[in-house]
Amino acid sequence: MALVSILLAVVAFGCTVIGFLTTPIPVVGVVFSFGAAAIALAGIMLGGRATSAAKSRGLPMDAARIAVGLNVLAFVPALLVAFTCGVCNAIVSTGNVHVQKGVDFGFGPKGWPGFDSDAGAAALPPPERARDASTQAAEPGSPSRNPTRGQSMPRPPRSAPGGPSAPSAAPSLPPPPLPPGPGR
Amino acid sequence: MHPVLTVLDWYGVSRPIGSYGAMLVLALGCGAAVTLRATQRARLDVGAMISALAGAVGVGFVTAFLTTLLVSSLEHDSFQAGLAQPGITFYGGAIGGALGLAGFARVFGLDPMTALDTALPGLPLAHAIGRVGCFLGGCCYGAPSSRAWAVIYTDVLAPGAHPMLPRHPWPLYEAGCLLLLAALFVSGRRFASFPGRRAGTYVALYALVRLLLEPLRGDALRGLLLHGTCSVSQVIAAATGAAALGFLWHAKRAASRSPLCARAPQV
Repeated sequence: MALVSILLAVVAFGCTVIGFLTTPIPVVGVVFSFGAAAIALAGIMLGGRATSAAKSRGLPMDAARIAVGLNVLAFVPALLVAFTCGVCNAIVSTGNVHVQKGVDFGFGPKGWPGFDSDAGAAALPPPERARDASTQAAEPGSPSRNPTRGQSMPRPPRSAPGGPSAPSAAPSLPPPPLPPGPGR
Repeated sequence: MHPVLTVLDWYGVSRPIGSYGAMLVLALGCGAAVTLRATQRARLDVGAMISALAGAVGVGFVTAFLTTLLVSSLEHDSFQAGLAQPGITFYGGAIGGALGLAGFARVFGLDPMTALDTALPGLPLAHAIGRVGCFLGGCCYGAPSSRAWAVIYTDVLAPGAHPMLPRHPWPLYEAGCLLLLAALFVSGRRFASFPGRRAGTYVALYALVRLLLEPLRGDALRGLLLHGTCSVSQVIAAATGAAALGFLWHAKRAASRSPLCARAPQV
């Protein structure tokens, strides 16, 4: 039981790191951010059970204590990531993610905020900077029509093989706003 | 006041770490440490209490989120509107956490009422630290006030900064009251004549505190009823307070009827 708990602590650490890095990606970020905390809590529960079992049997409790300690250490960053990156992802995900048309993660009914494959910035009109950049990038090539939004989207110009590539026209959005304290 | 504690930069990926989340972690750590110390003093199974506490924290977070979702959905008559304003409510978390602690304690071989008694004074201490997190995050702000100790939230990320008015430092009011409650329950012998008395007394006292302090709050997001005359938290406080008083009356009568009733372990 203690070994499984230690394994859960390692998994929780891994999920925390992945949740931290995948914050801008809808669904993935929230799953890993909150999943890490849940796994760490499960690890603490198992570690506690291992402590209790070792004590009742008169066995050494070192492994169980290490398991509890590791899971507590995993829970702290997991909760921090969940309450910043995870909440951020779930509520105000403005990640500039371009997914293939028709991709559906299958979470809940259509129209749920934060759970659509193109939630966030795509639902809003493009900022001025992005509009300027798209205008510059669209000059060499012809604009293509985005069937999902009905907006004119730039098509990157094709460069000759071996030739210089066109400058990236990806808009740089500001970081997502932090939800300032969800407590009530 | 200071919603973003720091910005974590890791291999070029930077993420803001909110003060509320950091204080929540600190609150859980302090609350758990105090509770486990009380468990040791009461000579209960510490391992079982660790497991029960972890389960209670998980259940508490889920119910805190669901309570907010329910209240927001009912308020706006729309589930999507509820999802658009997610958050956590203390009362939802406390009720779910208490039920979770009692349930998991039973599963792991502890007496549920004794486990709930042992959670004091860790619970009010953790709650007080969490309220400091609310103050730093700028949520749960107070009503506009012209008192000398009124505060103005200036950070644009703070909900209390819209508009920037002098307000009652409501989270600090409640944090102070919670610290007083925690001090009241520091002694394990106080209110320990029968199992569950400490927990019941705390619930009743906290409900009184919440009923008295709630009119000083200024955020409408928490859910208002009867054209704003009372809040959802006041209704829950009244219900839980009445339930706690009923439990105390019933348990006291049951304890007085059975003289062989074992005295609750002193935590």
